[in-house]
Amino acid sequence: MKKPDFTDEQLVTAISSGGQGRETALKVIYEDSDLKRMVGAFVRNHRGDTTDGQDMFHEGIIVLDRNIREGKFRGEAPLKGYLYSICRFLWMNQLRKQAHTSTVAEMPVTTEADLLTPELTLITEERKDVLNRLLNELGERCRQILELWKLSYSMEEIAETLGFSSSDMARKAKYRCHVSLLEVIQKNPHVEHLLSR
Amino acid sequence: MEIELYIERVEQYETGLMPEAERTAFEAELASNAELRQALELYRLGQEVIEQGVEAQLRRQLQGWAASDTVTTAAPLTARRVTMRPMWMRLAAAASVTLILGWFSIQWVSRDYSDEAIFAAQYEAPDTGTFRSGAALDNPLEMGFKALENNNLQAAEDFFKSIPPDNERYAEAQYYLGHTAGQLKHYDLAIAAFQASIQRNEAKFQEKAEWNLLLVYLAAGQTDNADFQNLLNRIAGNPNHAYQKRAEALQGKLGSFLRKFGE
Repeated sequence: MKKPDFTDEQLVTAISSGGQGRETALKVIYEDSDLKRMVGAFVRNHRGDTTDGQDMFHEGIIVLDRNIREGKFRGEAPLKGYLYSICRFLWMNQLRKQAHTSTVAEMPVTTEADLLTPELTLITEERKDVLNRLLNELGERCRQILELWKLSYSMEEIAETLGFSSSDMARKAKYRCHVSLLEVIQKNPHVEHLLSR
Repeated sequence: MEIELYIERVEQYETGLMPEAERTAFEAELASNAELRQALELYRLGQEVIEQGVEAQLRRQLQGWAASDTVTTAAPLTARRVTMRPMWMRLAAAASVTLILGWFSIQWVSRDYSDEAIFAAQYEAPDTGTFRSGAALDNPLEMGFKALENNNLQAAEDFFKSIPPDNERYAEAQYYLGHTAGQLKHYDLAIAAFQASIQRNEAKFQEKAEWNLLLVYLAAGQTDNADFQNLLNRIAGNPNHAYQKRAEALQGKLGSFLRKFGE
């Protein structure tokens, strides 16, 4: 999972802290060629091809990033094994959807690693569509501000990255964008059923 | 419900910055105040929406790294041969090899500074996950988005071209037409489409269309075009433009010695 100078703990801390450190940590994880190969081999052995393998590796990293930032990864397993489990789970879930079987549990469990199912938040395609539609109601700049804020960038870093004259200006812009987003959500007729899930 | 009345308290609560005593009071109020409950729920949904953007951004970044992987290949290793030639011949041969390797290295590196390489590194096709569509939603551009999702670029181009200027989604249609035509290497059409989208001054597409117009000029090898130069300078010189940093970096690449060497 790591180059010699990065421990799992360091990678997790870097991702949790956000900013440039997160990107560096994710690149280190992405460059683990052994893991990439293992995920690819697993997918190819289960009715997928090379592109599917790459997609699953990418989607796995996306889930890993989110789980670390949300504190769902508790460091009980090595990061590499955890990411591999995520990728396996995602691919099996995709196969399940394609096969229209009802649960992941119906897929054959072949090795011990299958049992290491990580905590995942899978959202329905319909929910994703609505969330993306809401996101696109925002201007590009507001999206950037809110995304950086969500990634724990400080107001100073946001000001520097996006060219605000001060952290106060960045803070005001973030507030305005956040209010705009919530107002867009409030006014959207497709949102009601998402709120009452 | 006026969200501004609640947003700061809800944010403090959700981010764990609320002092314990206030937290207890906040939770008690949640039980009796329906508007506060609604504000909290709204805030949490807002976080989900932003997370979608974060994930889409990371997805693009991973695709960019993967694209770089395919370009980067290791230099071939050659077997070492021991010869009994005189020292001067070996030194001369070594100098020649160094010169040749140096020349090839510069050629190799300068490939990253060609129009094609810069375009490939910078261009991001629209993420199909962020289209303003969805089977459940009434969307007049749905057919075009579906065609794009199915990678049927020609059908998508034909569809977006058919959206008339009086359609309220014209700026958006032209924006996606620009992407589609660009991917089909119909550069004149792509340039015209992005320009049409920009002229509508719609905040949602304006800056994205400007940036992509630059990239299409680049893909078309039209970096000497005055429009390209003016637009690049304008974006790079505007700290409020969403693509200002990238435009600055692009200026750097275009002015690089390695690019000139590779020409």
